[in-house]
Amino acid sequence: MENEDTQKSIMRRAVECYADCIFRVAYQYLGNRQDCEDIVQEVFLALVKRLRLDSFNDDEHMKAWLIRVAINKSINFVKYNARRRTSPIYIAPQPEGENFSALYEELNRLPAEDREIIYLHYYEGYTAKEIAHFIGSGENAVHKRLSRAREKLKNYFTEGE
Amino acid sequence: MCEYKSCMDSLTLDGDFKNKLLGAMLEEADRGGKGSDILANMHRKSAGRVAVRAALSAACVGVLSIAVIPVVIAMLPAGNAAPNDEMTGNTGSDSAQAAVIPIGESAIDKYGNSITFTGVDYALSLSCGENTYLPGEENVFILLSVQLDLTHEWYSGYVDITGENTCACGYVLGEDYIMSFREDIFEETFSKSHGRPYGEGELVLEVDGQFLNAVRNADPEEINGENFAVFFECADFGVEGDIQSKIQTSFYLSLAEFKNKL
Repeated sequence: MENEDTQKSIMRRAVECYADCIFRVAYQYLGNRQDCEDIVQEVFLALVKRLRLDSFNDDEHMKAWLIRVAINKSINFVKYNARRRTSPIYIAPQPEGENFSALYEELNRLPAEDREIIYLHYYEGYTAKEIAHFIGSGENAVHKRLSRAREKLKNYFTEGE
Repeated sequence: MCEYKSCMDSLTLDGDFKNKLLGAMLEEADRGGKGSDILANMHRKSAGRVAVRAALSAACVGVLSIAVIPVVIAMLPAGNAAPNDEMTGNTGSDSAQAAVIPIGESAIDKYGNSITFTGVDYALSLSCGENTYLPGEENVFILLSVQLDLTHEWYSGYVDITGENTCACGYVLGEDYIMSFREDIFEETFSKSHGRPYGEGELVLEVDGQFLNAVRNADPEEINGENFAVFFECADFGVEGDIQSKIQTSFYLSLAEFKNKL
């Protein structure tokens, strides 16, 4: 019973702390809210099963696991839905009162994986080495992509990032 | 705050969705619990399995175009389940713990991911999807049809099978003939993105004409399961970095059938 309560508490904390992050991870690939919500649901239901088998070292460990699963599921989703419809155009969000049209245009030009790398580094703060593990790439390749992205999007990041 | 971060900040899920998500998770948690007792551990499953050579001997009796193909899979114990943990190296000592899985049956790890080798064939040309592959002059393809079900249960895995971590050879009357693993075909049929697999694909081994000549020149009476085989071994097969597996497949092709195909 105590273990069940602990697991439920972990689930609540996971949703509260990481659901938005996982949504954003999926968004870099899928570009639309409905599909991303489906991915979020799949990822967190997978978490339930995962928690039955083994615990995580800490919250960061769990977050990294969630991100990795979300990336895999997003890639598979894109791949296996490509036949039924064209690849979704990345539609960056438009908060009220703000105009990100120039940024959207730049992001739209990038491959989905580059968008993911940018997000994980500039928003979530992961290193190139950590990102390489997430996406199954080499660390050098990630560095190169970040460098190119930094050049293309430098006007949209703060200095010193 | 910079424009990019503001843009990403606006990507959020609403409270209603999160509440429903949590509800679904709690319901799943209450419903579950029976899953853990059916998860197979490969080392326990491998106890009592026949050795590779014994399986080969049994397989060569009355062989038709596709023999029983033993699949030897050794799963290393999973370490900490961190996706960003460094993967430990594979060691030869695990072969003693390897299980022999007949073709058509699945090797299942404790997370429910499975690998199934579904068939073997050999040919002088190969069509995969829209592409036709031709070997080099006098080279022969040996094709392993592989189903890698790594999106089983709850997450996708990845497979890192390349020419760097595979080893394959043909063995005829005491002579070894090194085979090449066709990475391009593997990537085409599984995934073009970092080797992430899903569903079925083809593992193709290419061997040069010397192997073919050895087979053609060998006395059929001398060929048996002990001195004629094709071995394929792959190390560093990973699933989310948690599991290191060595996949070793060996199978016997009857000389008569081999010559007929050629």
